[in-house]
Amino acid sequence: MMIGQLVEKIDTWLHRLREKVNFHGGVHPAQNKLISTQQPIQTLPFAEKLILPLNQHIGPESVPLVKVGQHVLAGEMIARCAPPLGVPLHAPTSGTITDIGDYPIAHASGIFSRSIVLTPDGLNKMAVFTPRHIPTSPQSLKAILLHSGIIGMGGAGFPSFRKIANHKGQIHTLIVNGAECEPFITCDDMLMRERPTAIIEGALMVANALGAMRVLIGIEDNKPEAFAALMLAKKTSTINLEIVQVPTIYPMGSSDQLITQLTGQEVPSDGRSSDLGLIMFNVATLAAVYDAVSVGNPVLNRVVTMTGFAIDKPCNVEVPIGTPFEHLVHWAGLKQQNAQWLMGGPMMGIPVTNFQTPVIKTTNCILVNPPEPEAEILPCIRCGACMDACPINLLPQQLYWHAKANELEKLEALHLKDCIECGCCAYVCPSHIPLVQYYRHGKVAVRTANADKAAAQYAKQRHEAQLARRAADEKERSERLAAKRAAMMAADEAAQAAEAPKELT
Amino acid sequence: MNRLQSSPYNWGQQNVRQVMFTVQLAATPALFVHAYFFGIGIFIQMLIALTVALSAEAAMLYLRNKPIKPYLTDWSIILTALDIVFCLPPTSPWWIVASAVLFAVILAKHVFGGLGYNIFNPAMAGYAFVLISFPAVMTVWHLPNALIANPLDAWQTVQLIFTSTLPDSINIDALTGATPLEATRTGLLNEQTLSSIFNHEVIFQGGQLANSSFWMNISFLLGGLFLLYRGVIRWQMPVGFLLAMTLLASMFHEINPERYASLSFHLFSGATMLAAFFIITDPVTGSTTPSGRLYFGLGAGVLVYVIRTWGGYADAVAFAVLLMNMLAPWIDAMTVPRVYGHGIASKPHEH
Repeated sequence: MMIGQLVEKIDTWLHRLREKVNFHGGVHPAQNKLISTQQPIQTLPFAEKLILPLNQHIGPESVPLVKVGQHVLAGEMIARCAPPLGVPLHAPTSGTITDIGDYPIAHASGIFSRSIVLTPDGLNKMAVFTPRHIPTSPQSLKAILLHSGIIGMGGAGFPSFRKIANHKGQIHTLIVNGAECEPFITCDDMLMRERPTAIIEGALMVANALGAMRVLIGIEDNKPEAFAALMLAKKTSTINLEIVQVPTIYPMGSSDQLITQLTGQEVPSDGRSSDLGLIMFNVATLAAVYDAVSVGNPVLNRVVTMTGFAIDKPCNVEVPIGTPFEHLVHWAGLKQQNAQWLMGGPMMGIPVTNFQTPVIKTTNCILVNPPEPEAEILPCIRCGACMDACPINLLPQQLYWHAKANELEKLEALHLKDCIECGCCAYVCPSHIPLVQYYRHGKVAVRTANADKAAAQYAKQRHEAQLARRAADEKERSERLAAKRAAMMAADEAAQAAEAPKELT
Repeated sequence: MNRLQSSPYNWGQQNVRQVMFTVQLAATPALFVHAYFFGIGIFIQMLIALTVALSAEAAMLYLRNKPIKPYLTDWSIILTALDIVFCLPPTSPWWIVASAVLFAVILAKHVFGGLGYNIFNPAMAGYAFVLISFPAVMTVWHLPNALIANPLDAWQTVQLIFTSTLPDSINIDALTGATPLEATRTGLLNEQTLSSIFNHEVIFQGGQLANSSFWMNISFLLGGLFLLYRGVIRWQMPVGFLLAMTLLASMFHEINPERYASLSFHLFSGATMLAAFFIITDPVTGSTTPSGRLYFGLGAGVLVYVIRTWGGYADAVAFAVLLMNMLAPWIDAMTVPRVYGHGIASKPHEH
């Protein structure tokens, strides 16, 4: 297997020579970012109603605290967290609660989520916010993150407080994700240009609270303005803060890939970045942390990139959470009726068919493009372009064959679960095979089969336990009987012995 | 399955057709070098091969109830035809190339399920079929025109291919001879030394400029470098193949230079460069993992040298490739690369 390692080393070296990238694979889709960076971040009038899904994060749904008809102020908590894993939800503006019910959300299966509907009164009356003390321990940071409803705003939606290690000093480096590698999306770029101080202050606050000695901000080198803005906002501190330009290559913004690029280390497949003493936050999340501390307000708004070739005035907008997509798209102007709507970028976005789908805390982009011509799908010629593009170093073409044949054990053996569904493989496939779709099906099939297996195992264990219990009962009873019988026999014998003549003794 | 059900929603410009045309482009200089040495025979062979291949492919697609147009126009058939005509003697009768192509398309490709599903390289299967079936025709090569007193003109070439007739003034023996590999093989079997073979055999007269094998190999090498540059093929297969040939040829030549030909002879004779860059690199039937490709190349190189030197055929690319095709799935299974985040310690960080 020495030769295998040698070949991999040569390939890594060739890749680094060509792309200056520390991880395997990656692709260069057309960026199309300039169309939405021509104007500063815009604001627009409130939508008629804001739809606030109770499950914007990964974890249990928040619990409504308001009733229909109730008037709320901006920043008022309208749904509390479901402990221990959830986050609370706040009213983005003042207005009246008009409904609590099921509304569409951007989800691959087009499902609905329980949501609170708020009709803004247009006054935007704020609840009273008080600046918080700068957090000095992981616990105080955790409290701020939780009470402000902060979740990973780069798109993951993982509640931020759950990432925080319990002990100070467990994390030595905070990595700030400003890579924004998906085509079309520029909301982080614009935020870095316009609010660099908030991002840097937010980063220093988090690093301080965690006892981290180092902050590494990674920005793709296609955002020189954002890089310059952050460099200007950089200030001297006891914490070693570095702003690093990384090569523009998709998926640089994927957390594991950015960590590998910046530190040269790989995040273990069965572990987390905290195992390496690292934690990662997106720039928008850090700006939210800064606001939560310096002003005291929870997450009310976010910057969304409103873009695509079917949009009249592509730009970035700062909108209240809950704003329906349609409101935004109409404001920016829709050039074409049969356009395709996506939440997110073209590589990993989710199709949106219901235009009332609201902006949630993780919505970074609404992408409206003219419909793509249907690609002609040809057979796999095993060319291996997908393998060369895979940032995880999987064997996509073999996963494809096994997924197609439903060979679940082979899918597991080839580590399908490590697939991040970034879409590089499908992007480079000369046969235009929708590979990621096969992997999603395969993952579900593996999970279902494992759940079935676990259930069967559990049933078997219960059955065996029952049999064992019965056998034990039986044994105990028979032993008891045997003992009884033995005792009786012994008594009989004793009686007989007593009756017997005592010649022998 | 509808493309738009799942991300990504954009994809690159590359497609199967482009891949096939790039290979065709890379082989074009070799076609002209071939024509320079042997006349227009190769173009006629190519026309026959393409006609037969397209008809057979269309018929098979029809019989298999597959849509004809998209599959016919993936142009993978061009590469099959190309590889076959480069292997055949340029003036061999039309039915030789037709049988090779029919065998390749019908039995090696469509019987196994068509493009992407065939386990054997169709071109090599087709070539091996005619090589075994019609050995007499296959071992007689047209001599380079420079070594012939009155080379055939275009019309005479057409007549020779389609009717196997020649003008009375020309004798077939004046046109044909052994290839360099064939000549050395026969010579060695007759217990001649390599230096006497090189001094006496017709094919070696005329110096390096007349050495068709050498220039064909050079043009395949250049075409191959172009394919590498364009990312159509990966470095492991040619490197592995040429490395194996280099090691074996240098070693045995060192042991006995009169019995074992030199490294440069092996690298620039026969189908060495054609195999290294155009044949063993067929993605469908080769190994697909990064190190698997190297093993595949190494294996093919070893087999070619062994069969050339001690086997029953002058050149051995077809058999080497077909044998390696059988091993490809096993090589792939044995060479799964390390996945990101695997095989590293996942102990919690101590600080």
